[in-house]
Amino acid sequence: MRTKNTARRRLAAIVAGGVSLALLAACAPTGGDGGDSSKLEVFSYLTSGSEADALNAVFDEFRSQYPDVSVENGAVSGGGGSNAAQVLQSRIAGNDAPDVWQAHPGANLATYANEGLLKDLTPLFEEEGWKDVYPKDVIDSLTVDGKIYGVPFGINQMNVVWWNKNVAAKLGVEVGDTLSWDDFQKGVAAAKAGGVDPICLGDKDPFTTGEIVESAIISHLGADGWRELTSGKLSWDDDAVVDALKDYQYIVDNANSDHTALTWDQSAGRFADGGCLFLPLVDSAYGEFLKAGAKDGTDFGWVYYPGTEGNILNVSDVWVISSALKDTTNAEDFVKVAGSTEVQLAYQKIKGQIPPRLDADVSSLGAYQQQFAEAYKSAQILQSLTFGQSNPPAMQQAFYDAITQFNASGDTSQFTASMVAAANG
Amino acid sequence: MADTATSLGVRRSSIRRASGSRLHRGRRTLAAALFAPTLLVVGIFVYGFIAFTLRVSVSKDYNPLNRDLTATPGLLDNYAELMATPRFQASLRNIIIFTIAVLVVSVVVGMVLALIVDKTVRASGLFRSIYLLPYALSFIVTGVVWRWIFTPETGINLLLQASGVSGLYQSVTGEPLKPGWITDPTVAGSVNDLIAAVFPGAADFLQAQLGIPLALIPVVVAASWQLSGFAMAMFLAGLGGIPEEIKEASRVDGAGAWRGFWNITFPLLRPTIVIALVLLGHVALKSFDLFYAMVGSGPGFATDIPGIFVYDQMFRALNYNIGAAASIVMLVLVSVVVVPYLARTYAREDA
Repeated sequence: MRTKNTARRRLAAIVAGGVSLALLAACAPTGGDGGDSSKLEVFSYLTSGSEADALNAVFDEFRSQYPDVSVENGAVSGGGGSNAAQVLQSRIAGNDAPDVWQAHPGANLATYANEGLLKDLTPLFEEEGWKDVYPKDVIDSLTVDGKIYGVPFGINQMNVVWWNKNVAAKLGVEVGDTLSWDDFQKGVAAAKAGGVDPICLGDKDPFTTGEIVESAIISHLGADGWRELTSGKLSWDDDAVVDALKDYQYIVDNANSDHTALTWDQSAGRFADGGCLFLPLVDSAYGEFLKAGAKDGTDFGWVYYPGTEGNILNVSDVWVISSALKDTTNAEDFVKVAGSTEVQLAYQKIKGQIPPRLDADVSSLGAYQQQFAEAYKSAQILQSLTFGQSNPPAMQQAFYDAITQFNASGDTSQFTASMVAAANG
Repeated sequence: MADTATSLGVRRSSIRRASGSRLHRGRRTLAAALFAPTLLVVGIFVYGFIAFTLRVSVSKDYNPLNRDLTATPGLLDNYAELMATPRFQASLRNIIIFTIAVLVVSVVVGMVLALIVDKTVRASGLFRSIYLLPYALSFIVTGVVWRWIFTPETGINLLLQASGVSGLYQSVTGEPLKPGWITDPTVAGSVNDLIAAVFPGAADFLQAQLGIPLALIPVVVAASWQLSGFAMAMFLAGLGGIPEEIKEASRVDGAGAWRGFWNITFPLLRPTIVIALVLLGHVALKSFDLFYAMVGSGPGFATDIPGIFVYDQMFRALNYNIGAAASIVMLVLVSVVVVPYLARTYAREDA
């Protein structure tokens, strides 16, 4: 009896030990799938309704051209991309980088390229003749130390002010092709007198205020001034920055009183419903208007943020390829498909902006998109700090924090001091 | 409490007496084998990672892309930088005020509810369930719902208007009643000037206003709404443990309801109150999801908390070293609450 009990106990001990080993084994990285020639994982944060549909259009085209390759959609939602960034960082740290992932050009792409995590795509650009189909500013934003690392697939402009035509008609406000700061202020005054919120804002997502501050700075400094400021040649305590903050303060003061509780898309929805006259917001708003049933050209129009005409402050999306991938055939095939005019066009038909390629025929796109595409041909294309294209992430976060602080204190010297400190640090 | 302590003591001594026999050696091997997986998993995934976080917190510019663990010149450089950051000062202020407020409100409300439900003769089970229900929700759900309630244009302000409170306020004071709730950046009762007068050097160091951020109040309400029911359930259990004879004796001796509570019930509930404070206190200190869903960092960091700060510093700014340092500070904060409690519990068990 006793021996039987001991035997049973030994068995139990062995089982328990085995379970613990199995648990540990389950935690070990599976890694090293770089050699599988039939699989491709594409990692992104394209998960909102129209973005997911647009991405699927790219996948469909790739699948029809390369039926033997199974594409895995590794999209991670939430936090405007910051959840995905978290996953991506952990995976890179665990030697399990995705094959292809979504990045922003400029400093964001350089963060990865500087650590040797990206494949050099210069040969691919030469092979495909892609160097000539993008504006020089765009090629520069893809280049780190003379090598090109990303294939663009989408571009948004951020220095846009939308105006609601129905509200304007009611108030007797007229807006032409451009809007001066004086006329903007007149419009604000008219809206106030008419009992309508002059400006819609939803800065629960802090990028909405970031892009207004950037636009205001560009309106005072111009394109070259913005480049000098973000590259450290001009100090953040420049008078132009202080003037821009005053303009920004004016915009916030004339916005809906609950702006800190609204998200960007809620503010776009309120604008489309006639809740205000102006909406300074990145053109992702365009898709929200159409979703809300508003008509391009009759219900709403757009102008560049006063004083920034001829400049496109951009946030863009590019595909990059992992340097850890041994066989890059599938990945290169994928970016070739995604970078073709047809697929860029199909993508933007759903998503609502323009193909980054200059040689795409945009006549099938909406009125706003065609106007944007026309401006894109000749504009100065500027990199956004709000989306980490002009500066590394630490500076981007410092910019967000300085604005949040400024929103409560209204203290311009506090803002400039913390930006100067961040630029030096 | 006392009962479990003695029974444990008894069991322990009997184990000691029996040790040495073959039966118990076998039992020990089994115990060790069953314990090993947990120990291993906790050792790696809790203590191992805490150690790694500690290491990252003293490194110069570690991030997952470069994995460069070179240390800072001074051991505490990152901590010094962290403590001087206005945003982190604000988030420390917020989490401490939030924790204290939530503890006070949910313990008092939970106690009152427990006393009422305990006295209820009919359907006390129903009321218990109703008050406990919010605790079953996720903080994300609570956060989203309470965000709408405390958004100035949509929630409680409409109620104030409809009920005539706004109108009454305006007719009395001549000013419209329009509280900003979660959008209000005001920090009330700031003691910065006082501190600067006493410690002149502190004025430069203190970048955040030391006071009560008004935007924090709605979050306290939401958290207390969720946690009071849990406190109630604990107090109900505590009340159930008070022998009926004692209550009856006090009644026979002519003690009224208040004296009975103050001299009998309350002292006997004290251990339960301590447990409630520790359990709710560490939940409040570790808050993240409620704030993230309900308010974010808030206007001027009025509702920023270390959890959100860490998230932003690590995953958005790639400042893993500063984020890790802030995590360690959070760990210390929680330890301040939990460790003395655990130490006391162990001390009692050994006695």
